[in-house]
Amino acid sequence: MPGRRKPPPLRPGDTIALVTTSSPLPEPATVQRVIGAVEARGYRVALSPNFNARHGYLAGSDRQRADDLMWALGSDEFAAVLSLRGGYGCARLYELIDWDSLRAARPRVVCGFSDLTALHLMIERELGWVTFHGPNGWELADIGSFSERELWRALRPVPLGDVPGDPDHGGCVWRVSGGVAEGELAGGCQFLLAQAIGTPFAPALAGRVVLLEETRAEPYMVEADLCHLLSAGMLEGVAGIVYAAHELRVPDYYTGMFQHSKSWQDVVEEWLGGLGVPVIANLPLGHGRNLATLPLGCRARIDGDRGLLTVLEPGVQSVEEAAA
Amino acid sequence: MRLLIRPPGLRRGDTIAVISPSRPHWSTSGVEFLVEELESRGYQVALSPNFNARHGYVAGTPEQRGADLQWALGHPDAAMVWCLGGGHGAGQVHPHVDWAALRGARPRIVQGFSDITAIHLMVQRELGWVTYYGPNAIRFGDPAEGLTEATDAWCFRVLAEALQPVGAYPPAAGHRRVWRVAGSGAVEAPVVGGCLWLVNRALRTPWELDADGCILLLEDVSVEPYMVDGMLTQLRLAGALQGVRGIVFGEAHEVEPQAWNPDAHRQTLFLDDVLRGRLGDLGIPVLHGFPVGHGSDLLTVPLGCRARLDADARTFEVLEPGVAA
Repeated sequence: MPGRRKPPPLRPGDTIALVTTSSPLPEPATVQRVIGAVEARGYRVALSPNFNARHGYLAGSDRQRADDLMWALGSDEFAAVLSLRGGYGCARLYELIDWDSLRAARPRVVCGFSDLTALHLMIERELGWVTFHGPNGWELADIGSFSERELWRALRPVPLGDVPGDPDHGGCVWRVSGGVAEGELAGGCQFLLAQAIGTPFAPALAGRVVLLEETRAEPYMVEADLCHLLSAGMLEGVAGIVYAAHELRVPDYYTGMFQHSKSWQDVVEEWLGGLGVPVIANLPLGHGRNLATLPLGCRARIDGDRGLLTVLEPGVQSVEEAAA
Repeated sequence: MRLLIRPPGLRRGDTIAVISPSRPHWSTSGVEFLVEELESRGYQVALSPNFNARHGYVAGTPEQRGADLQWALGHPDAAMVWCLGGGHGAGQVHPHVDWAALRGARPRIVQGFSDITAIHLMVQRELGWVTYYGPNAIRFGDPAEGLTEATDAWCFRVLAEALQPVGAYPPAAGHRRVWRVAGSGAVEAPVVGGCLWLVNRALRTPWELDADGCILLLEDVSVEPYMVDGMLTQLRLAGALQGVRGIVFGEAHEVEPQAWNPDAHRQTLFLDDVLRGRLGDLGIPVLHGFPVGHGSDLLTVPLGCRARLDADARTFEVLEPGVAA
């Protein structure tokens, strides 16, 4: 794995490339509002050549999406890359990207979450860049004040410090297991992490503070993902786990066999509570209304006794490093 | 993939051990009917020690279910281990079974499907036995499970017939014709596999499927096409399809965009697109539409037995008897 490299901080007037790695926007017109939002914050926008392509649930063919991603990650004119939305399909691009040709490119801010977990894993494995677990492009069209503040805060050349609790839950954090540990941040959407098992971009998680976030899944599905990560040895030696859950419940329409259920909290306690590492849950790091941005690859401290996740180093270069 | 050993066939008077490695039973009458049904056919039934345990949506803790699997696989009298139902959680039992202690046990029939795929993979890898991908036991007890005559007759023929080869599988009733997804020509190789979801969930675990040199049998239920896409993509990227000689997709039951999903995945690709798109470039024959899966008929397949897949004739047959004499 290459050494860790950080992108320069964003400066007003920088250009942000918008691509579609995964599923298309449900409403194509949303892109206009995303462009407006980015420009209103003082940045320029470059839309990828195939951004409007569609192929079923994919935003164009694999070739089109891979070409767009190569364009965004390789061209010197872009200071940041955002995928317009997640959904499904990023992992399909891995074999079509010419990673060798991208190794000469300078790091840039790559931000996203959900299906973009696969992109984070690929970039870490192939390019070693620090990337940002935060909003996808389309979120910017209607971003709330919390997510907005935390996004730009994470892109400043100073350590992020404590990740705030979710204001919609009174800031409360669930302390699943106590203890204090430090390690580099890793992880993302649990479903996508489980789908990376066995692939060339399966992450190395030992010694790291691992984010697992999952949305709109039934507790047994949460358990299936978690058990796969555990039984494949992916969580061996982790420093700590931050769990973020969104709508993990038995849905009303389902009257079948899983009604005598466990809750997702039961699942997290049963499978993560006994690992002997700090585990905290309910920080706003998933699919909820509030999403805090994290620099993946940067050192962080997890405090299971106080319910704190603290990012100890900046995700971008200092102004001096960037100028050098 | 190493050669798997066929256990002896089931005979009247034999003992069938019934276990619940996945979901708990929720039909006491269904279990009683199952016992009566098997006894009326001349078998003895032994329910596992923790048969009635519950732990949320699974039938007891992983330790309890592991102990039951151990009990059944090593039971001195059991000629067959029949898993009650699928659901979720069978993969959790692996660390709670003393596999080394079972290597001296005589091979016996192990049957089930869906989530039980995990048990198949464990028994094949740890003990080297042919296992039987067929109806779970509760289908013979709970009327709601919809046992068909074809399922019933095929199951007991495969489990008892030691002289005649299992033979050709007809097209699934829901398909009428078998679809040639890709490829041409015929291959002969052992058939292995199970439920796609569970084959994926086994990647890089101690019970990971080794399908190198084999015909890969897959089926799935109640997932959206994009999720099948994701699972097949993972298998490709993980190298799990390398060396596979051919693929038989049994039935994909209710694999369609879900009406309740408010997401934009409704602007979708369909299963056929996904199968051809993800499997069509492998250069191997791929067929879809046999009654193996979550459809109305489920015709037992002895996993590990030699099979023939003919893409041109659109046929799939098992060339050996399912059990040893």
